[in-house]
Amino acid sequence: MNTLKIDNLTVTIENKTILKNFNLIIHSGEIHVLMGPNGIGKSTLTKVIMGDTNYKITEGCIYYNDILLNSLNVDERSRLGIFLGMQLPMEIEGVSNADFLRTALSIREKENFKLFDFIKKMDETVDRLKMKKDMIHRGINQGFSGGERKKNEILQMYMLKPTMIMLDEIDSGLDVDSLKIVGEAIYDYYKSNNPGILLVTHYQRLLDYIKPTHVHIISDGKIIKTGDYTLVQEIEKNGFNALVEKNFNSTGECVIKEKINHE
Amino acid sequence: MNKIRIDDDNLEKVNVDNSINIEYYKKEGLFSINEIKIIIVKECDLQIEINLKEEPKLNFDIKLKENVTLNLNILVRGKSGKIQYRYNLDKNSYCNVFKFQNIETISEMVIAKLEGENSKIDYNFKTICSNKETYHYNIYHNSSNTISNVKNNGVCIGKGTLTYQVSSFVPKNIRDCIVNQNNKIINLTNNKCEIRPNLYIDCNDVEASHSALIGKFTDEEMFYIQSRGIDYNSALKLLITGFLTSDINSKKILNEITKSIQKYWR
Repeated sequence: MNTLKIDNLTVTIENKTILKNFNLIIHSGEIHVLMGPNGIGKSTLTKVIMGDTNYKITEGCIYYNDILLNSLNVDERSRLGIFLGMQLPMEIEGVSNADFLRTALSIREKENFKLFDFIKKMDETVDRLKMKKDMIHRGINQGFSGGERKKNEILQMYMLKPTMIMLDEIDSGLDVDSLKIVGEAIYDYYKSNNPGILLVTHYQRLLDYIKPTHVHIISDGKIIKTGDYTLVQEIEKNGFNALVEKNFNSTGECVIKEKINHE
Repeated sequence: MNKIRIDDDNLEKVNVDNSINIEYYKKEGLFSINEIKIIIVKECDLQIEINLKEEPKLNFDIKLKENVTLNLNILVRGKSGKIQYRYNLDKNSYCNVFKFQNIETISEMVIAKLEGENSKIDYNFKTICSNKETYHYNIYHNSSNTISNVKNNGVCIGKGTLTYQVSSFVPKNIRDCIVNQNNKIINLTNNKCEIRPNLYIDCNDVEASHSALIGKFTDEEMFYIQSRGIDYNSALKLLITGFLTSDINSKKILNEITKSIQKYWR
C-alpha cells in the first residue's frame, strides 16, 4: 500500500499564497479528482508535489510512504514512483522521445535495463495509444498536436510504471476518439497496477472512463467540499458557483466556503 | 565519399574522385597562408577533416559550378588557428554544409556568395567552446531567387567566450530571395557571449528572418526532464546532446559530437 500524504501545506509564489493549510491523503487504488475554477491552485498542487522549485513551501509537509518529500529533488521524487502528466508538456528540440525514455529507464533500472524489452514495450504502447510510429524518434513533443502531447504523457506513464499518478488536465486538447483511447489506457493501467491517482479536470467526460473514488472541490487554496461521483454530476449541472459561497472579510480578502443549503 | 585531410600546412587527398578539382598553394613569408582551392564540377559528398596544431592560417575557396549539389561535412579539431572559407555558388547550385569543431581558440570568417540564380546554401554549424571562438559570416545574395539558411548552435563552457556575427546582404533589384539566420548559444558560464545578427536588405521583395538566443536551458525544460527520474547532470547532458545533434545527418559528425560530449560531461 502506497500513501501520499499532504499535511497542512501552505505554498506561495512571488509572495502570493496559492495553497493554504491544504490537506489530502491518497492511498493505492484510490482515484481522487480535484475540481475547481481556473487559477485556484490545482496545477500548483501537482507541481509542488513533483518538486517544482518555483513554488515555495512555507508551511506543512508532503510525505510519500512516510518519506518526507519537501527537500527531495524532482528526479528523486520521480524515482520513488510519483508521476506528473502535465497540462502543457514541454517541447524539447533534438532530444528524441526514445532517448529520453531510455535514459530515464536506464537510470531507474541500472544493470537490469534491457534494451530489447524497452523497445518492445515502447512499440506495444505506441500501438495501444494509436500514436504514429515515427513520434518516438522525433524530438520530445516537437511538432506534436495538443492531443498527441497528452498521449505522449500517457506513453511515458506506461513506460515508467509509477505507483502514484497525477494527471493535470490530461483531457484538454483531446478529440472524442483520443479521449476514449487515453481514458481507457489510464483505466487499464489502474486496473493492472493499482496506483493512487490524482486527476485534475474541469469536465465530466474523462470520468466516464475513469470512475473516481473521491471528488474534491478546491477553492481559496484548500479543499472546501469532498464527495463521490455524484458531486461531479452536480458541478456539471449547476457549476461551481452554486456550490461555493463568496464572502469578503474585513480586509477585503475574498473568503470562499461551501454554500450551506438552508432548505 | 570524397575525403580531404589537412594537418596544419599538409594537405592529404585521402579519397577524391573526378567530381572535385583541388589546388593547394602555400604562401610563404610574414603572413604565411595556406590556400586550398576546391572546384565542384559534379554532384558529390565531401568530408574535410582539419587538425590544427601550430596555429596555421587556412583559406578555403570552394566553388560550385552550375547545377551542382555539394554535401559538405567539415570537422575541425586541435588547438588554434585562423580559417577563412569562401563559398561561390553558380546558377542552380546547392551547398549543404554540416560542420562541427572542438578546438581551443579560433577566429573564422565565412563568406558565401550566391552568384547564380536559384543557388542555395544551408549552413549548419555546431561547436563546444571552451576558450575563445569568434565567427564572422557574410552572406551575399547577388542573384534573384537565392536562398541562405544559416544555423549556428554553440555551447559555451569553462573559459569559453563565443561570438557569432552574421551579416546577410540583399542589394537592390535582387528579388525573391529567402534569408534566414538562426543563432543560439547555451552559455553554461558567466563569461560574455555575443550574437550580432545583421540583415542588410535593400529590396522589398525578400523573405527574411533571424533569431538570436543566448542563455541557459530553461527551468521548465529541466523540470520536465527531471520529472521522469533523470538526475540534473544526465538531464543537462541529454539537453546538450539534443541541442548539438539536431539536424545533423552525417554519422561521422554525430560520432564526433557524441565523443566530445562524453569528454566534457561524463
